Amino acid sequence: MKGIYIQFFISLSILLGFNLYDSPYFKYPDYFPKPFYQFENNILDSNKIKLGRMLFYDPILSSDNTISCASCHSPYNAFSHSDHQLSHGINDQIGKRNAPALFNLAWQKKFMWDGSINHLDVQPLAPISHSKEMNENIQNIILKISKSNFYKKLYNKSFGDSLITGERTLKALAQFQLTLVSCNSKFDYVKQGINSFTKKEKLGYQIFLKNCNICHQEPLFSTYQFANNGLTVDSTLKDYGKGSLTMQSKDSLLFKIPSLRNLSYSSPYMHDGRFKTLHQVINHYNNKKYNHKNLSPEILELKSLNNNEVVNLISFLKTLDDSSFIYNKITRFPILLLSKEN
Amino acid sequence: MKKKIFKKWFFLFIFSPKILFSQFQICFHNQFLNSELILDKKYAMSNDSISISSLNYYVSKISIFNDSNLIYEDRKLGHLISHEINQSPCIKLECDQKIKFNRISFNLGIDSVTHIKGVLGGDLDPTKGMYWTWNSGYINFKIEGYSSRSSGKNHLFQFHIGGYQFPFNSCQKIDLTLKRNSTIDIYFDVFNVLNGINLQENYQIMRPCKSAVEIANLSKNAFYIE
Ligand code: HEC
Ligand code: HEC
Repeated sequence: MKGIYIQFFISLSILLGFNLYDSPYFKYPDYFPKPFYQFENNILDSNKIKLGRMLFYDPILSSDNTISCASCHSPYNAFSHSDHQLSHGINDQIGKRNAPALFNLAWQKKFMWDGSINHLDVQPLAPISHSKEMNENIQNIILKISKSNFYKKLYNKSFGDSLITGERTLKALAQFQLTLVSCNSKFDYVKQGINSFTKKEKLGYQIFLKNCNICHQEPLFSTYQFANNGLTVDSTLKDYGKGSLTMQSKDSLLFKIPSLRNLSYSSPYMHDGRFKTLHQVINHYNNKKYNHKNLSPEILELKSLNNNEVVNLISFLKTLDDSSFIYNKITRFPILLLSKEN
Repeated sequence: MKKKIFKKWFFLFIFSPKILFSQFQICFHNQFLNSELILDKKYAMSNDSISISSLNYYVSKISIFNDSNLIYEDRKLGHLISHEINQSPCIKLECDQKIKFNRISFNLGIDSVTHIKGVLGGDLDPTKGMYWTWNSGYINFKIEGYSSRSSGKNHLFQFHIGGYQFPFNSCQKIDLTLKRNSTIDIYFDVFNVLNGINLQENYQIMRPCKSAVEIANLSKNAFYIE
């Protein structure tokens, strides 16, 4: 009889454990929605996260061993790329799009500005294979890593044997990236009652809620849906976003809505990095000269903001900066990687 | 002591599936005009000369029926059939041989649900060369070769058929009636696929699109049982 109770409790806790995903490596506040990533298929483990972190910072993932994921996704820029409007890859080649900041990835369903990638696990295949980014292929990476005693040890620790496969490599990369949770901005402290907004920030918050929240929804500051915010098409890039991918006119010029967290670190802005400052961004939303067929209707309803309101809105946006995320020691370049000899 | 041994055997008898189940096989035979496909062989035809340099496809969701009753379902998410690696690959299944069955169905390709599970291993590992990198998704069916009619570079053709989302879902369900047997031999005649394509105009597909779905449809009808 006692046995049945114990069994019942074990199965109950397993069930609960799966629902309220709880891991020391993945913590988020209670006002965040439930993450979308299905952790039960890739259960977080400290060794796998560590392996993923090595891979993320290791240029071994590129064909000439010069470019790592971090080359375009630097921790100090909230894992985006500063100074470059468009991504800057192998042999100084310039890509088609601005490297987005990486955080709160577990809440996102589709990846890339056009949503071409359907799962975080398979995302790295895109930059790895891109001729202007890492110009490599996953088969060759597996061969390279399989020759490395450094990695053999890490795979062994993570998976119980030193077999190196595409699946394991990609799952480890996903694990590291899943731990990039940004939830310690001033906004979060205000939300938790530990801090409070200044008067300007409070006024800015109200402007934000009225105008921007519909797309850049708190607390993640994006719905992670696709929308057209009225940018004109760059005539040299001819990037139609989701439309270039699906070839359907209803998707033309739709781009993934980015989060507004950590904007101070992640300039330049937009899919092609056309804006350097938040003032330029707000000016864009303030000027009402749009004529796209797929323009999201919310854009037409935006209120024109005066100078004071712009200043207030920007001071609110700055409360979304999370410096503890930027300077987190556990996610930056791993010193251990320097000891790698082969 | 005796009692204990008896108990052990009793449990083994109940729980060991080995006694009840045994392996049986589904073998795929890739053909060109009714005879075994030989890679890189020149097939001369009245208006064309064709050779196939590579042929790979995924088979998934194998189900075995007796009339309309589902008797067995394969749990593996996908099997890669690669003509380069094995000319008549067999999929071994654990199934009760004593059952009666007369129908098999399977997918040519990977279904939408499996497509959004994230990275998978084994035959579905992205290192197998059957995964698109720039637009998530498996290549369900890949055939490459030479046709004197192709207007492609060096008269080559390349069909990478995939796509899992509406309206370009290219995964095809194949349903075949069997004679009861312990091995199931399934034939796939690639001539029947290529014969339906105007190779002069259509020699390269590498993304989900309408012609990919059309070729997937042709492939579906190229499977048969002897
Ligand atoms: C050469 C620069 C470059 C390199 C190297 C690079 N990326 Fe990116 N990354 C980008 C760009 C540009 C995008 C946006 C691409 C698009 O929308 O088409 C992006 C998008 C992403 C996204 C999607 C983010 C979102 O919000 O949708 C993730 C995740 C990501 N990269 C992770 C990685 C990982 C992991 C690596 C290493 C395997 C890597 N990147 C290497 C430039 C790079
Ligand atoms: C209709 C939905 C929508 C509304 C409303 C909206 N945005 Fe956006 N926002 C977007 C989309 C879509 C993008 C990405 C556009 C692109 O790159 O093509 C974007 C991009 C941005 C960016 C650039 C972020 C980055 O990392 O590149 C900022 C900053 C921004 N919006 C701020 C705001 C502010 C402030 C408001 C309110 C005044 C607002 N947005 C209202 C949809 C919206």
